[in-house]
Amino acid sequence: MSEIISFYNKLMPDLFEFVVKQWKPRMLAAGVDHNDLERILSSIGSWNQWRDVWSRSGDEHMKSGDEAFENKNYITAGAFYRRAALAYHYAHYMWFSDEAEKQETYKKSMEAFKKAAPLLRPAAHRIEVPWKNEIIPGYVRIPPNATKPPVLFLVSGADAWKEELCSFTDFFLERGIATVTFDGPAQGELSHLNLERTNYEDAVSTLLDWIIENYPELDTERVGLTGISMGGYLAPRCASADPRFKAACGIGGPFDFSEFEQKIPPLLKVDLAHLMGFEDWENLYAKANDVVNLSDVIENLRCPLLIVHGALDQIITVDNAHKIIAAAKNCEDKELKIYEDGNHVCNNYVYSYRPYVADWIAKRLFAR
Amino acid sequence: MNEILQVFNEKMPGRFHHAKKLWKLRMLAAGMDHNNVFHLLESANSWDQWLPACLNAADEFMKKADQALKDGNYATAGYFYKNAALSYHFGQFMWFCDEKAKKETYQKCAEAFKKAAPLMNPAAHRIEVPWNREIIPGYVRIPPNVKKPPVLFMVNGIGAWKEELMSFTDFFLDRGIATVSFDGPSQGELEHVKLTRTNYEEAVSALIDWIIRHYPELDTDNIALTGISLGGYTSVRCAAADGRIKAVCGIGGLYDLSDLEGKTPLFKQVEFSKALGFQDWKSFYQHANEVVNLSDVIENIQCSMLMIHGENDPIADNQHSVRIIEKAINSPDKELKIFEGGNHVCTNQVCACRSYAADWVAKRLSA
Repeated sequence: MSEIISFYNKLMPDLFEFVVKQWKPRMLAAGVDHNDLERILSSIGSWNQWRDVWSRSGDEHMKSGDEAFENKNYITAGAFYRRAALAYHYAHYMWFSDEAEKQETYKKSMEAFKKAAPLLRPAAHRIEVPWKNEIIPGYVRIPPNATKPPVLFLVSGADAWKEELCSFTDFFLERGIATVTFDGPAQGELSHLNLERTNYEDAVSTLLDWIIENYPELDTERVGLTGISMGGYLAPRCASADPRFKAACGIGGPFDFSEFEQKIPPLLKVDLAHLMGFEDWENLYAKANDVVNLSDVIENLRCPLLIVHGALDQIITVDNAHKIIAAAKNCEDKELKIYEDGNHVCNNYVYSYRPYVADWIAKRLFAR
Repeated sequence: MNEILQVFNEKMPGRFHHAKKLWKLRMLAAGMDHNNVFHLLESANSWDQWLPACLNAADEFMKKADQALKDGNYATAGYFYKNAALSYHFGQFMWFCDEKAKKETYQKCAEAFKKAAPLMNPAAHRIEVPWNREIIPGYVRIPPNVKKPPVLFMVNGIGAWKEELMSFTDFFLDRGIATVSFDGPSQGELEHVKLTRTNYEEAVSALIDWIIRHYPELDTDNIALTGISLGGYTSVRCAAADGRIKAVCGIGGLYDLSDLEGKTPLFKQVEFSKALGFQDWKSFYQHANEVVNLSDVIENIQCSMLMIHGENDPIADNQHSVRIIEKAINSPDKELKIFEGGNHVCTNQVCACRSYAADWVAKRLSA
């Protein structure tokens, strides 16, 4: 066991309270039913029950999904499968003491979402895009009744993956924008890869090539990026590296990891070490800032940029947002939107920031 | 002030915190954002702060919505107008202590919702249907990409009016069914008309006539009703009275008001007295059961019927649904569905309950 994982095991007694306080709004934002959430949280006494209780809820939703499917109640089946995917997702998330258990549980989330995908309205089409020796898995959703809609790539975070972000895509679809959600290096189905300084933008450019080639019904001249948390760093990175992106928005992302040791809460250190593949503190502290850093690319960014941040973000401080905006020197249309009592990714202001972002993106992608 | 409202005014302040917990589920089920609901509930610490807190929140939403509309962000504007409407609605829904403020606030709710309606997806078309000397106000929503969709009439509860129940219509639209939401006697814009034994079904039949005439693009040979709470009673009445209705689903409904005194919680009693127009306890207890009662019509039901009830409904005991099903001896296709652990109208299992109802209706209307 690595020293970081043994550190995690010592954190466990306090994790339940921390995770609920930090992320309950996030679970609701992802589409967990509020009644369900109350029942689940009230039946968890301590962190070591976390994975089991959520997994059981996932099993129940799968059963209801299968039943509805057999009865040809497809909309209902889709909704249950989607709730199952979310339950399994939260079951594995922040669960680092046993990697095999984590992987096995995530796999259930992914499989449940695969079943939900064709039953969603509009449907989410599964795509599998070859990249190097890997497959980038993703979902494309197309707004009904739109001719040649523009496209939005939704960039996942360190632990909020494509299954969790489905609820955000609805905001773009309502505004006539098609969406692509996917796992990049270190996320979801690609979590066996570690995040490196440049491999994410590499994968995203390949994904964009593939979408252009395979989806002629989309307006691939007008493609935007939006990312949350780590994705709030990755989205501007990808837009800096690939000028085909016409707009980028980052929500709650870091500029770099120069403050990693001092400012990041203990549990998140474990989460991010996992993402970058570090197993000991010395390496993690010495190198995190080399892996996550916008300084090498941000001046290449020329498309419109929106950075959204919560002033009370305890995971990535709001200074990071100011830094990104200041460093994007060659960007002519940039905006910083701060939510004064917003938390990490402004999950406590979902009703306000998601329409704000979607409107901002729609304006840029529909501009003639 | 009448003696029923006096009791309400005495008791409400002491029960406010308990009541808030129950309202929270309704507010969420109505489609308000959970963060807003938390902020709102926290910002009112006593009963006298409730309406002002809701007005504040609603006015904020109106401002945001107006701005979004100006900026051409129509989806956002619709979303904020809807949240404004719901904040006004929940501000007034139990505000029996000041009739004038209650009416004014509901008016604001109705106006905000009118603005939200064309911006919703799919849009809600406002309709105004003449009936006796009144106008039945309502909204029609039509699922996109469906040819001749069947039609579902959404029947309100005692204080849950068309604006609050709009979130339920999404479940039918998803399944290819058009929806008609409306206020009947004693509800919303028709609050001044008191509920009588038969006036609700009269209004609904007039509304069906009008929809048939004005919406040839809908399949008006396939019509169903779904109602919640008191609407679980009135929708059954309507189906008994009008043979054009092919299926009826009641959720948390009533067979009659025989257990009003003693069993029904005080605040619900107050709501009933308002809807039925009683001013004193004596005549209320004596006559309520003559106004709300299915015994005269239940055997006329010949359409498909589903009664859904929460196992632990403290407002309308689940025995009401059991009785309705038992007594509907001429319905060829009837089902009783009890949700284990379910509360009144199953707002604590809202997704499961609404999906179940919508799937059942869709099957009956062959949507």
